Amino acid sequence: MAGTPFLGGLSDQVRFEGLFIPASRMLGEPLERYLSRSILKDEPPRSFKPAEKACRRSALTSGLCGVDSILGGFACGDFTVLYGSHHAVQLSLILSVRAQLPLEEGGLDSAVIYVDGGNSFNPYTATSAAIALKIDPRSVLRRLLISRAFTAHQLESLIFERLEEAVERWRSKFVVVSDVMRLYLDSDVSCREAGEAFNGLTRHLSRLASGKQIVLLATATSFPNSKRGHILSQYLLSRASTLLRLEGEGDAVRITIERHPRVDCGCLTFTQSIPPAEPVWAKFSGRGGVAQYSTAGHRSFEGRL
Amino acid sequence: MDGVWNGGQTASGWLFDLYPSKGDEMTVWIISEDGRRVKFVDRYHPSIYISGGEQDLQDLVERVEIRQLTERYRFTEKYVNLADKDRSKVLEIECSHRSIRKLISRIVKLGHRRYRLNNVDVPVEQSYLFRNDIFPFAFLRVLSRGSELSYQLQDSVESEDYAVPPFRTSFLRVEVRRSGPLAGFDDPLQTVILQRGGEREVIDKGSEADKLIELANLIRRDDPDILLTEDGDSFLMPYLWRRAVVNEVADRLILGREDLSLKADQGVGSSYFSYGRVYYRAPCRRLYGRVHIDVGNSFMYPACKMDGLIEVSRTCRIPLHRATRATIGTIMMSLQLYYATKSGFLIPWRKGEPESLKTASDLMLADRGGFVFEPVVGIHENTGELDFSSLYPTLMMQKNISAETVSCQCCPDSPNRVPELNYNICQRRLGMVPSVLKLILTKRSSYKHMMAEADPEWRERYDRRQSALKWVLVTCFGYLGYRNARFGKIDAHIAVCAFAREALMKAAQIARSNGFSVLHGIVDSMWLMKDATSAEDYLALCREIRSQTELPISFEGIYRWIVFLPSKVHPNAPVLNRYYGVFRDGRVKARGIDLRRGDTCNIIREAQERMIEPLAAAEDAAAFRENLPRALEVLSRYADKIARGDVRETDLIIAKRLSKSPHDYLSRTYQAVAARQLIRAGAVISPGQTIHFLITDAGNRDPARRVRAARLLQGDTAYDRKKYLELLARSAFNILSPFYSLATIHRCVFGNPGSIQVPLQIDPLPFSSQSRPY
Repeated sequence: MAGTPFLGGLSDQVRFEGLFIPASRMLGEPLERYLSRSILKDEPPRSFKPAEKACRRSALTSGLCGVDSILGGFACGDFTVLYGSHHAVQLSLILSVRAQLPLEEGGLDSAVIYVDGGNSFNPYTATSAAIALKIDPRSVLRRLLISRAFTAHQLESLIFERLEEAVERWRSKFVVVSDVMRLYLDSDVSCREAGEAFNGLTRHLSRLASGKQIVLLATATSFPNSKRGHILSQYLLSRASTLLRLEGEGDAVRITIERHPRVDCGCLTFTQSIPPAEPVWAKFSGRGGVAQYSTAGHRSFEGRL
Repeated sequence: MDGVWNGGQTASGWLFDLYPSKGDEMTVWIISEDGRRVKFVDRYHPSIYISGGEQDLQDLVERVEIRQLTERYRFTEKYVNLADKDRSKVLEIECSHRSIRKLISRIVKLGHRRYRLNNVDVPVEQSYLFRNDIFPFAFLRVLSRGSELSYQLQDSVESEDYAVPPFRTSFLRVEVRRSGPLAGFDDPLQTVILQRGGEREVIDKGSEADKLIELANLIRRDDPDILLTEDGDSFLMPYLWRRAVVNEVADRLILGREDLSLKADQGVGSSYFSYGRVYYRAPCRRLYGRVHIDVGNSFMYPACKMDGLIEVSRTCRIPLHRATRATIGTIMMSLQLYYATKSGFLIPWRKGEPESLKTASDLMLADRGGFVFEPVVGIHENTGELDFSSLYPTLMMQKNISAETVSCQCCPDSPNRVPELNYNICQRRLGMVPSVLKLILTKRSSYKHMMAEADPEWRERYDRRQSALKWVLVTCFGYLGYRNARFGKIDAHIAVCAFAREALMKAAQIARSNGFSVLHGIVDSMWLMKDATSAEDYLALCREIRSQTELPISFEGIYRWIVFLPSKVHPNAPVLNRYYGVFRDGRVKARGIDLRRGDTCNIIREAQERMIEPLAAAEDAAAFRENLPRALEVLSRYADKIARGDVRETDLIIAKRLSKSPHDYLSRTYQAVAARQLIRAGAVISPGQTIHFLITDAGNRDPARRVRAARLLQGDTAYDRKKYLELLARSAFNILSPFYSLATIHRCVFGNPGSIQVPLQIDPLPFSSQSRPY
């Protein structure tokens, strides 16, 4: 290996066994020394604080070890966007079940409000996740409140006029807006109007998350290569305080943490294997994945969780 | 034209046509009692309404850019939302109809959430009708005072016994001197044919310019009220206009009653999506003072003719030229807009009423369609059919189901509740949808009664009227759940399905308690069986069901036999709504088989009809089985005909709708290939259009040679006999699969003609043990 790799100033590729990669610029010490101080599999190094800091707030864990160990969970007050493949919607449904778990189990012990903008709600995914988490599926479905929007105007009406009241009425700490962009891609809405309206919508969602101190999660799976698509995705992705990209890779899912308000993680990628017999990856504990880390403009590292 | 009447004149007659003219006028045409066609002009400014905060509205109306486009404004009180109990203060702005778009744009710029726009996209003619409370083809007295009109209505939209004005109708056709396989806009005009009643005028002398001028002269002379064409919107009118421009007589090609020359640039229509299919509509080519009906661009005209069109135009208060081209949903919505206007409700520009929040467990329970009893596959004797009449519209009316009444805030303890879901339904006020439906249901029911006692001519007339109203009723349910419907809401749609499920289940229980077995049920129909029953038994059953459900149900008849068909893919699995049978009175009824499908070519349709004929003669299942070989003989004869090449081209044409642009198809489907041929020949093709083609060589490696678009055929094109034999075999198997194996059918079709031994061994259908009546 040529040179000594510094976190944040890495010029070469290093292969190592053992651990995840912590936030770079905060530490500024040789990776090897850092790694020599690092601990066992599945435990963050003692010097890595950000995840712990994140955990001071109420946080909803995903059940995916790698993601949770870095982020400490999805914190209240954050506007999180999951985007990319359909796994984003799947994960949102799994989180909708996990949110109902007690706090000590990484949930929020909360009713969930699911605003469906893409007709993507699947009760069977939710019940499968409930069974995997050993929760009564019927009680899960009773605490999962859903409203479907079929036009952009209906979605706006739901979010601007009904959502806040619903959050208060049901004392919900977790809100999902599924496929938030899809209805604005409809040709029934002019490009200009879609841009203006969507900008306002995402701003409102972001403020709602911080104002009400809830975990607000939006998913987006359609990113057409068009002017409208680019404009809308810019608004969405730039508003998110936490941004995760999910991509399917065969029987695995690659999760990239692109942004987080408290963890300067650069661009952290996990590949989560989904055993073929286990279509619902909520059952999968997160072990055995492969972690990749790269700072912007630098090469990637590989490690095993 | 018989004159422009204004300034103190009066006329009695039928309201025939109306349209906005200039910025602040509405032109109205009356066919007077004494047969004159009279034009009136009225001053008219449509109103739009803006709702929002009071101070915001005050600020809005003081803005210069808004005042510039405002004729008059005032603050008034209206119901802003359908569910509102109280009226709210809103701003009403009267403006020229030409300014509406600009006004909307300026207001939206100021904040589309701050200012809610209402009544901005109600067609101007319709808003005029609503404001004056008149309707097309109403008999009325018009009085003009200066530049304003007033009306005394001497008719009622509820009337079933109304007089129709004595129309003058002409049919216009042209022949084109084609340079290529398809007629194009650059091809010169050869002949114009104008037909009025039994008289036919042919214009084929002189230059193109002469012919066009002569056409205009003839139309002026004959002065028809209605001008019928075939493909007038998509081709004929733009073609005439184009030829007039080329020949420099465009200013003289006046086909309407106004002194306006025809303007019909080529234009492209629109494609839209409905119930899983893409449809295409050509652009409207409107005449003024005269109504142009393109029979190829009208849903209602081919189905119900002028009687049906006039009926919906009157009842739903939609001008004739719009009614001919509109979807039936749009026609029905016109009536909703009227009721909303008259009741003081604003019509939202963008419908934003979302689904009510519900738990996922409630959603799973709620989001279901009609109830189904899977059919028992095979042949059954002495089966009776019962059908609820207009079940969904009746439920909406009876149970007061509307967007604003389901889960209303004002009656949480209402005794009127949706079964299974327990949603409350308002008991304080009649919903918008039931109000609209009451009129249509009542009229339809009246027409059906009147048919029974009418002479043949009037019976047909009443039948067309009730048929047109039936189409309107069909859309009511769909519109409840349609995302863009102004007065729809998914929860209301869900409620209707819940009531319908309950109704069918209750009816089935009553049937069973009377000793009947349920062979099949689907949403609003049931097929029942009981040994030794008569029509009287079924009628008594209907009375009991009607009494207990309070819903109208009719007895369709007793089948001598009926065959419920299995899945084409899984022979043990039943499929819904695919059957054929014969009533005791000899009527054949079939659903879901080839002869009912729009994409079946004539020869296959005919073959299937002829195969059923010998079966239809059977009195019972035993006789049916005895007659089966005769069906195979028919099959064999048609196979022979196809194999010999002895079928006309026109009988082999298949029609398929394009679901997308031809170039967007990833695989070379027949319709995409044929569409591309037409495009290359100069046609403009849009998604939703139906493409007709002949299969020439299905197995050709070059997809472009597998089919030929029907419009490009010369009359001597060879067809792919093997492919059409396959289609024939498939259509035969579709109806005979419970009795014959595919191998037997293939032997009949592809084997030597006439070599089938009679009687045939019949292969039994492998019934599953669960296939028992309910």
